Amino acid sequence: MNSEILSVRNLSVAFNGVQVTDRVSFDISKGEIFALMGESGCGKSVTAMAIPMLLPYPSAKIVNGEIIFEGKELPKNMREIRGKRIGCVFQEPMQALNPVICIGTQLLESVRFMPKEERLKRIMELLAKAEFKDPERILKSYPHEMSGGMLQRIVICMALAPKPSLVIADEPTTALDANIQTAVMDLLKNLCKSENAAMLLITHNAHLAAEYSDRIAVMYAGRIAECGKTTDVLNTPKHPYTKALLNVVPTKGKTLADLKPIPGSVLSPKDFDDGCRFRFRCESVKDECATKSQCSYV
Amino acid sequence: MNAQPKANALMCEILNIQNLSVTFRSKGGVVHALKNISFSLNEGDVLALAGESGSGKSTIANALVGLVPWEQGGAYELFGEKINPYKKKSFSAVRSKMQMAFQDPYSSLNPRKTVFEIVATPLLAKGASTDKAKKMLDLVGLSNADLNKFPHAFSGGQRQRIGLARALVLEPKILICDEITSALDVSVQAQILHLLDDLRKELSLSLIFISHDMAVMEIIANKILRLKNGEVYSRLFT
Repeated sequence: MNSEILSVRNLSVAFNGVQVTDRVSFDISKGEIFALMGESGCGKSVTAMAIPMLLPYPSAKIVNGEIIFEGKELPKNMREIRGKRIGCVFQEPMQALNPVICIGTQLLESVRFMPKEERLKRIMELLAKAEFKDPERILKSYPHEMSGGMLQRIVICMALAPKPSLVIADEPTTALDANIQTAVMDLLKNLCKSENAAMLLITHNAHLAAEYSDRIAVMYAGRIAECGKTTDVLNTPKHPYTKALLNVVPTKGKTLADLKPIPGSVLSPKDFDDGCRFRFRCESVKDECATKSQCSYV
Repeated sequence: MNAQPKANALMCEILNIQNLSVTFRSKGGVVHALKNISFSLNEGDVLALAGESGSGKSTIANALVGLVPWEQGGAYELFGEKINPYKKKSFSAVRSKMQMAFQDPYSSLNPRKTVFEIVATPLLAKGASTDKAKKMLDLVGLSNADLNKFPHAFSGGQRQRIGLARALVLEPKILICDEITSALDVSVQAQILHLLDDLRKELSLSLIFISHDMAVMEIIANKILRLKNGEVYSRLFT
């Protein structure tokens, strides 16, 4: 238990009084890559952004639960932790960087906690690990002079520069071309491993989660449907939603008949109740599903 | 979907493109977006255009409906008729037989128009009755209750259905789908792929399907044209 870097316990977040996530719980161990997978609107980004307290104020509010980071409850002054012990990599690298400040200044800002003489050395070390051929030129460049893939590599360097123990990567490759997604994910994984940082990977992509995560939690309509070792969850899914989701993931050798669409659509948070939220789309629905929040198959 | 187009592979050729080249000129210089692209499409075919961003997939689609100018030297034949791609007016005949559905369901629909108005606009432009708009919305799985709603009231998948209804309301024979599932979740993507298959059978459509996802293309297409830097890199038959 001591190896846990992050414990999220019964976390519920509400937006303008409407609860969007319900008692979300998971743990992340030191150096582990944990994926939170689900479709748009299932609450994965809300859960992830609640950890570094980046939820929009005042509309969003944590209504229940606790977040234990490095053995302590998160402090009110998150500046001590955010960007220092917890690094963030966001979906859109262009929006994560300031367009009018050169890359070098922005990178150096991320290591402002370090002694002055170590800052540039640390940045150059990370740029070398990220395989930038001409790091000196990169430092003088502005964001608009670089491609999306290069910018995301810069953001990854920024997130890891202060030697955090946890990196939250919120759909880090969604805005990138398919051919550079692998390179960016490889870099993120290798840097996290070499720096001994754990990673919370937010993704809707089952291939990405399968390839890069050690453990996975599948979210549906604000709740965790199923959680476990990635190979177990993806190879032998138990929750009907996980099974249905994996059925619609296009893979080599599948035909259109193999892609079985999930009937209906996701409930709006306003319609959430105490029963299983997948029961309206579930092929294995039982009477008890209307009252039990936990699926009886899991 | 694979089996059906393969069975139709011997059917007649409806589109033939030879030496399609497109060049963009800007202050920064000249960009050869497409270089001598040639391909054909048979009735019932699903042709996938694959490649990374900037490889020229969407430029081919735009050139086919006359949204970008062709370089001299190309030839365009549609349903056995020669089209002059250097005259803008030639493309008005093309567009009644070939329509496009776009990638982003959030920016491709006019937010100030109701769903019915959006789908009926092509009919009004042709001076035709708008009755067909209701039928088309029904065909893509939207109900009568949705007719007077605005796009913001719909999810991404439903908006993509509205875009498909708009593209199909003039009963084109070729539908160009430009990354129409890229912005969607996998469960909605499966719904749209099944819908496309149903529409293809019901309306005798041929599809040009643009995507960067090889797994999706192998599922839906019987021919795949892979592009790299504006040139044909390989041709695959699934």
